[in-house]
Amino acid sequence: MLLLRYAQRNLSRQRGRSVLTATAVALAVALVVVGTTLIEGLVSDFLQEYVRNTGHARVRHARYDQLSRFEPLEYTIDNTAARLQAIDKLPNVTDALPRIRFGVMLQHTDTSTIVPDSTGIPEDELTDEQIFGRKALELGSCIAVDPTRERPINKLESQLVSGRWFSQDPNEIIIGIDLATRLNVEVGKSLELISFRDGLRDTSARVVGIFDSGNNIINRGTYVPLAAAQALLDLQDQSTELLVFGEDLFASNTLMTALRGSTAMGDLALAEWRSIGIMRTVTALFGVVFGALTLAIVIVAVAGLLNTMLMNVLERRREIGVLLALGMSRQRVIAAIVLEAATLAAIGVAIGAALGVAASTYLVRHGIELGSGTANLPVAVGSVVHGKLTLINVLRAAALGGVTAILGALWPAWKASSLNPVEAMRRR
Amino acid sequence: MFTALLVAALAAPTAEELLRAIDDNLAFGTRISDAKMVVVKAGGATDLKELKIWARGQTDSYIEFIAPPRDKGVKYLKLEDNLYMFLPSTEKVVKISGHLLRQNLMDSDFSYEDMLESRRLVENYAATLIGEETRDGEAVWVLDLAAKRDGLAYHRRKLWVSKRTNLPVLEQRFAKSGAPLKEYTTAKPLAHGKRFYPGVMGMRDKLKEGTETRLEMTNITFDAELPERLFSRRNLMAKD
Repeated sequence: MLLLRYAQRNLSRQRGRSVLTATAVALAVALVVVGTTLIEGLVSDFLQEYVRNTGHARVRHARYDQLSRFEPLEYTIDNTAARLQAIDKLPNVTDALPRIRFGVMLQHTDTSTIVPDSTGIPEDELTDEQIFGRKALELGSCIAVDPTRERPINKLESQLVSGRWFSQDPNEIIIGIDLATRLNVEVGKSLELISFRDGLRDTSARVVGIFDSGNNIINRGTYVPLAAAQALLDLQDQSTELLVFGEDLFASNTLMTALRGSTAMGDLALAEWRSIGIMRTVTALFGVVFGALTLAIVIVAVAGLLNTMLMNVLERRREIGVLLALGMSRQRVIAAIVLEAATLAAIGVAIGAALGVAASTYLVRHGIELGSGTANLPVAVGSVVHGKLTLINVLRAAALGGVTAILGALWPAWKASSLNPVEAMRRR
Repeated sequence: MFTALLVAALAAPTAEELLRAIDDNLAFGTRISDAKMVVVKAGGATDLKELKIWARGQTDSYIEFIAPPRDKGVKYLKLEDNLYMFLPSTEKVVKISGHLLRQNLMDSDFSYEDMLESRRLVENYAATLIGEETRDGEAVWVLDLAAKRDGLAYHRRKLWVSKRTNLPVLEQRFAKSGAPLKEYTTAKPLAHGKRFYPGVMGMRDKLKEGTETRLEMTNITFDAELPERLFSRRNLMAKD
């Protein structure tokens, strides 16, 4: 009780020093809360974006899986509708999306430049534009989706800068903003889709939406309804992959078990999101990179706090010498200093956690702009990263701040209390 | 010995003479033919396509696919170095140029570049006669062709040219790196006066595994009168 009163008196007597120490604790805690919120958000954004294109589990024809770089349309999943029905009934499955990925040639024809035959102008006086119309032609990659199933999962609709999501009409297309610029088309215009599969197949589709994903590669892509691709490519009731989603990304092993036992699978190849594409290396890399980043933030916070605590105790060596000379035991001196530090740490942790949560809430709601550099990344990451605030991270930061502050006071207190009282009083 | 060498030297044409003979063999005023294209895919499945070809000289041609139903109505017009493709479903024309030239014609082993090759070999390649041999019972000259300029689809070619028909019975086509790109064969030569035209042309894309395309000519007619409009861009758009 006496020690507590001594500690409280000290706090109010050296108000400047107390405020400085509590501020150091608060800043360290706030920094760790905000830092971990941002890192968790970045990882979460990346994973969520990534698994939109892989599912929590992905089903493919085994041969297609081996040759997927070439998008071999001869190795597809047949009986897609029946397989989807079976997958829908499995426990843990929330969504199942059929897709077809294929290469396509896209052409826009501006017929306004055509000079009618009736004008009688000899053909050799006319340019190609005047006979066939002005052409813009691009080779592109296309993803065929089931509009109804895809809508709640695909981010595409929220990325539309003009137009709308698919209706029931299969002759519709949604294209990336880069492709729209290259083809010089806007919503409402018609495009010719040409596939060289088994010879040559073509169809026309009306642009109903233009999206901007923030990524240059994805912005050159196109989406069409599954039915349109199946008709164009002569792949009735077929798809190149089924993306299956469960309730929890990190509990995908239970989803995998359910799928493995399903009649829908047959001899198809099943892959968990962690083992798909760059995720094989990225998941391991994430642990290292973001672990190191978190550690760096913690080290900065701890170093600053330790320094403040060290100064706080060491500048009081004369006072400690007096206490020792008056007969106070070494243990009681240490206990008094640590109690004082713990009180300051408690105040600092409370303020720091509040500040950290407030700043993190802003990051969660509004995000942070990463600039245009993300547009050229090979993986789609939005230019704005939103934080992810978790209770466990706030508690960890609070514990870290509190423990560091106490430990930071303990060592210099022990050092100071081991001095000869006369020696300690002589020092300035 | 000396006499034998002298006779051989007098009998052997020069490499350039052989190239000119090949070029002359393939040069007709006009040519109309029906053709069957058999596309053998990797895995052994085959696709049969039927087409009609009208050609004028070595530079202009008009091709229309008539079967199977999914290809019916696809038309190609080649005018000098320009190639146009008519898409029946959308009734639009695509001009094949740039990187599209590397695409395969109707899923076959022939590329659009192969189709566009209309200049005489003697203009594009410097030939060396590297030997003579017998191939499948046919006496042939062996020629090595090196591109005279950059930008050609094939940097080097090796030809086995029939002494009887002056047609290449086998042709290997290579990239600048030396990598084999295509293997072209001809068979069943059709006589027209003193000249011959291949009745069957085969192509293997060496970059693909297990594929082959055979183009078999039927009902071929040479030097018939053809309407000027047939080779016009407007005709490509005309409805039948």
